[in-house]
Amino acid sequence: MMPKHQQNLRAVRRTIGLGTVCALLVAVSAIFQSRAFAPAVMAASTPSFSADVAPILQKNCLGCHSSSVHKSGLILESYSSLIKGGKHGQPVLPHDAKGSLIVQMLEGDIGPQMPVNADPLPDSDIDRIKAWINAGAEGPVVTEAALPLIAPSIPEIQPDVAVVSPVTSAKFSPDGKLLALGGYRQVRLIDPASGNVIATLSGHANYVRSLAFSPDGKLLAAAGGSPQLEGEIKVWDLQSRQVLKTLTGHKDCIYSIAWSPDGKLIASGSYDKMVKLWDVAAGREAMNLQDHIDAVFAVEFSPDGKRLASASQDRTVKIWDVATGKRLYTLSDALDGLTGIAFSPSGDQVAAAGYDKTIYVWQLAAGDGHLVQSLIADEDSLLALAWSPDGKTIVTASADGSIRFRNPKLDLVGVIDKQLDWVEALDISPDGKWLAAGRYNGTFSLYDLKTLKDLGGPRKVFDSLKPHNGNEGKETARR
Amino acid sequence: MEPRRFLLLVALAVGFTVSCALRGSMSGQTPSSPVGRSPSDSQYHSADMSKSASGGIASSNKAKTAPPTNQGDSSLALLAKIAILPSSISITGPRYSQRLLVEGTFADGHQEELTSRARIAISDAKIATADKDDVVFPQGDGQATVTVTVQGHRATAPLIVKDYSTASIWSFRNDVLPVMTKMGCNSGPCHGAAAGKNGFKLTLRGYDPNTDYYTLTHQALGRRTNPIEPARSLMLLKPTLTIPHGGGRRFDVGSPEYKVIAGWLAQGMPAPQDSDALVTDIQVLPREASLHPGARQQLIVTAIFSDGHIADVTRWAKYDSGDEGVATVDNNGRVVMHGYGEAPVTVWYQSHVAFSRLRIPFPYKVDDSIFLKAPRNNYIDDSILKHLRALHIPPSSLASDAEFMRRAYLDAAGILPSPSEVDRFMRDPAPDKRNRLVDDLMKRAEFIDYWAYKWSDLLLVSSNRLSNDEMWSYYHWIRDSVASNKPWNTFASQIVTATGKTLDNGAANYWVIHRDPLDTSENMAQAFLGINISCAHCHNHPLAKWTQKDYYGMANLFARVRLKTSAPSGFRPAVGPLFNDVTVYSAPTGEFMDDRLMIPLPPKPLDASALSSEAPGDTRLYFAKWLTSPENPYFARNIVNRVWRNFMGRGLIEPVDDLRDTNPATNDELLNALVKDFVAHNFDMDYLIRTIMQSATYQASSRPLKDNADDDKYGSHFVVRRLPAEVLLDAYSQVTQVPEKFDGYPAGMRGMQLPDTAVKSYFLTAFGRPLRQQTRESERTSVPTVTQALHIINGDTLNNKLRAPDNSVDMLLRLGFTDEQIVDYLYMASFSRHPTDSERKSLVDALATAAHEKIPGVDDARRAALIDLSWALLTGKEFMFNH
Repeated sequence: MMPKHQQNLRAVRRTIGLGTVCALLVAVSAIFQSRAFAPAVMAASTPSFSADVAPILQKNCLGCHSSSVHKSGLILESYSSLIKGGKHGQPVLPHDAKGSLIVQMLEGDIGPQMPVNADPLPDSDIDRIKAWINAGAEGPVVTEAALPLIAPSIPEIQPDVAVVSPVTSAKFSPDGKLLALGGYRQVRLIDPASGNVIATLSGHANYVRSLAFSPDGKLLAAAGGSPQLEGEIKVWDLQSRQVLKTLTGHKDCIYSIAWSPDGKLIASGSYDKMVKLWDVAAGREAMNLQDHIDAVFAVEFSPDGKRLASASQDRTVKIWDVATGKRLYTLSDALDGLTGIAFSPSGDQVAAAGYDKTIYVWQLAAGDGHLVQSLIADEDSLLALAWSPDGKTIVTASADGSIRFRNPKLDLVGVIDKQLDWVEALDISPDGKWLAAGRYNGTFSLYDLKTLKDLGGPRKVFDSLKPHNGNEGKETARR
Repeated sequence: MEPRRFLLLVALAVGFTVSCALRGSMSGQTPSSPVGRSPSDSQYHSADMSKSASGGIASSNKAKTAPPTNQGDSSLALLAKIAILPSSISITGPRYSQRLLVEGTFADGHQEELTSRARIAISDAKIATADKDDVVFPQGDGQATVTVTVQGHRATAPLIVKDYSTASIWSFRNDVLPVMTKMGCNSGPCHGAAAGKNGFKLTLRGYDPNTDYYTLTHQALGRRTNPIEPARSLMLLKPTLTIPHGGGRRFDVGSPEYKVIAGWLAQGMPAPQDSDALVTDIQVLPREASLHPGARQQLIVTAIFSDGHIADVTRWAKYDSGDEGVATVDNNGRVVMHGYGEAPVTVWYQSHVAFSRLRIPFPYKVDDSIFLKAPRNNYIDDSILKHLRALHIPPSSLASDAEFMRRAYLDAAGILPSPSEVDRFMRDPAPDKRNRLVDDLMKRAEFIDYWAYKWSDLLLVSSNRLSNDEMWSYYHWIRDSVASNKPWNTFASQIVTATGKTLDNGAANYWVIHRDPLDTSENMAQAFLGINISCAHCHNHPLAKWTQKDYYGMANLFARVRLKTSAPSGFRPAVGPLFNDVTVYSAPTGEFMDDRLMIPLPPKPLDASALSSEAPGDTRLYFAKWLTSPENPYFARNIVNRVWRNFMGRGLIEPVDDLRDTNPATNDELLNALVKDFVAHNFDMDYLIRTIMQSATYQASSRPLKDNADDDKYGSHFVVRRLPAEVLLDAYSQVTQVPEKFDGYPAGMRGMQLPDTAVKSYFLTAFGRPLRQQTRESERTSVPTVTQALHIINGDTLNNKLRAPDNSVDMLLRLGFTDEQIVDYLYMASFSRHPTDSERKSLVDALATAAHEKIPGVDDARRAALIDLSWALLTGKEFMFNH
């Protein structure tokens, strides 16, 4: 009927009307926003990638476009990766800033406006990028096309109270005569029998989060690095107590290293999702094993050195062929991130544990592995795992404050509970006599594996750092 | 006979008049209905109707934007008094400060924040000093006086500083987490997501401080915090964008946020302790204010802690406006007023909620005498008029007797009054006849049918999950409860604690429908408390105070309920009828192992203390006592709000099943008064219904005034709404005198008498009958659809009734009524009123013309015309709507 049609007509008209108004508004705002009217910002000299563009990208874009996150396949860590582009093509068209995707997205002409979840860049920054593109988008003068790491300026804040470094790693030497304990920027070498400090190795970038002795016991690798900046492995000569090599290449700190049984390789797993194999003699990266999609918290060589197992926050264990660097297969039974991994001494099984409170044991075959045991083992996350040299015991440390001992069928055979703090550093001596447990509160204990007795009680490892203003008394405020 | 052939003719004749009548009775609801639009134009689903039909879901942004007044230059000549907020200032410890506000009240009653124009002096600079932003900083222990002057007006407030020289420890729970929550670090889209972000996962809005503490300090080998070189902590580097952060910049180096986190790191990251002071309450100031358009108002928020200290948490609270058309609020608690009306601004801090009610009175000059002279039948009207007066909204006058009668019958009993009842009532000269009508109505069987149906909706009575006999048993139990006016606390209690055979004790069927402790617990909260706790299944409720532990503790109250059948054991389908006749009983012991925490929590009603897990017996008794206690803040509030919605079309809190603290009532004072009255009268449902129906507010006309047309929630006039599906169908049966026949039920049984919503009825389904599968008010919809329009126009429900032999048309013909009498009768039967003279005249003329029309295939042109007339009346807005 008529009125109905009239109504529809009116609705249509209203829509058209609105559309027109919108279009007008867009046009008007486009004129106002058009940078044709903005005062031209021209650098006196030719704009430089390193000086003008890199700092802007570094500061605003790397949260999502780093080699570890790479949203839309785009990595903005270096000139070459910027020019290469991502899923949506090349972001930069030299000499055509207006036509460059990076400019269009920074200005919001193409959504989503970058950076996502943050204020748009100031016009001055965008103008600098445009000027650089219009000048030809030249790369950095140095041949190394990587972005120089710009040391962020960090204010100086002193602790108000005395603080002690957590014990972040523990490792017995192959002959069992040394126990290395890692902490903040240093490693302590201890005689496990007496508890005496033998040496302190310092100069590390941050926490030493993993330690590995060379099979002959002459070298010690200490790994760590600064979160989200760089991973670092220092190879120490234990005789001279000199750093022989410093291996860098990971883009985030390293959580785990292992030394190959033949002594030639060090494997490392990092928060940057990469597993790397390092040629120790040459002091350089031999292979990059890329397949995990989240932080790698643990790596371990098989006893024969042919395979490498890695455990990750991505809930998987991956088994790699060391010779070729090929991933053989993935074990994906876990329900949450994995923190610890160990091979059985025979090498045919691998155990892992993590945040889902569960211990998993897989039987390994040539082409695949299958789960043979799994058990919800504790009331809270599992933080570390070790398999005794005689193959009879799997030891785990949990955030619930317990260290539990289980046989390979995961039956409970012993408990040490009421730990003073989280145990994230755990190692069994090669002769199977001792268990070393390093805690977040800076103490460690040496347990007799037979009696589960704490030999000598919890001991301090590192010196406590006194605040400059001498407020030591306030340490009681800490748990 | 095909009535539609006459449609155009009659519709054209009737259309104009009916439209006019409608516009007369509902002007404002039909702002621009084109003249000549016929009722067959399915007006009820046109755009303007959809708004009125949407019931409680009122648009919140309808307030008109008010022109801003130039506040900065406003004269202080009419300033009546000033006040300091807070009225007494207490600062504990050297780190805290307190922001002050100076609020001026003017002669016309409006307020303005005058802080920037005030002079603030503190009597002793050794105790405290104020900075340029009127923030008071402590300087030493002691007491002082704050004096504020604005243009000759003066106000003072006492100030006390304590523990100034006590070294204070930054608290993870009370300093660090609130900063992270305020900055959004632990919000749903960021690290509060179930999977975290980039390997870093916090609990949603910081509900578990212990877990967050370990995640930040211990997890991933001290990755995120560095107590030795605090500034190198990722926790500071990333949110300041010193190094890249996917979440962008959250705060700057050196900001108060930075200082809190850096301070805590430097103190060696003290862990949360069980002995930490907990927030017991928060307060927002000003609590309410009448402001001018364009006004800016800072809010201040103070938190009161379990150890007695008070802290200014304005910077760390979160803010949200309940009506952005009226007021907007930024992240710092700065409000800007925009449009007329009232906006509750919600303030959230550490799971505590408070409101500031800010309003701009409408720009109408409403003389006080209007409010003084407005009819007041009981306290409801006092409260509504007080609120309307504050908002400058005039109330509409009372509805006519005929309008009131039709409305009361529909709302309380789901039926229309008969023409003779209408006639008798309109002639009745007694001054208390409206109250008597309410009393008489409440004695009718249809009243019982109506409320039994309503509570059957709430309690999910249907053959979906019950056998036929059980469904009847449950329904009869409810109906008997309504018939005997069982107090609501007894009603609820009997359901909650029901035991025995489901055919003997109808209430026990509740337990056949809800067999899982989690489902039971969620349903109990929804049906009897009007709160949705299902969020707390996976994490603490983000908008209410319920924690995951509350959730599982409550579920454990229902872990001992057992069902027994005589059939072989082991067969227990998750849905569908279990068996005919089940015995419900409580096992003496038993616990519910939840699927997430993996440890049974002691049985505990939401915010009550827990029972010991070992305590033997029926834990439901404890729950029932807590549930129906007069002190339970939700139990009475829930049912009062639901009954209010039945009569007013909109709950005082909307939606009615969402009574969380962050969802304020439009008139809190009234809701509190109703609840108090209801509880004082021992949860008497009839008393509650009577009180509401007797109020002048309920009896107000649906005709809006020029100055109250924008109001759809403050009670200035009756809000029109479409009849519910069953009421509409019954009304068609009643007016046409052709009863409906439902499958499996005797003819003549009305829709409102059905015990089951699984009964097949295209009409009822099309008009939004609920499925009774979930206790949720939105299961019943009043949304207009094309299906409804088409069904009314072409469908066989109404048309078959109009074609049926011996229907009302045939009766009128048989009685030999004149056209005039017929028009009069049909108006009385359908609209409960006489036609106006012009309506009568044009319809009589149209009928006369139509009766002589020669149409091939139609024997009785007059009958056909009468059918078309009936159809036109029954499909019009005036019929299909309650007004």
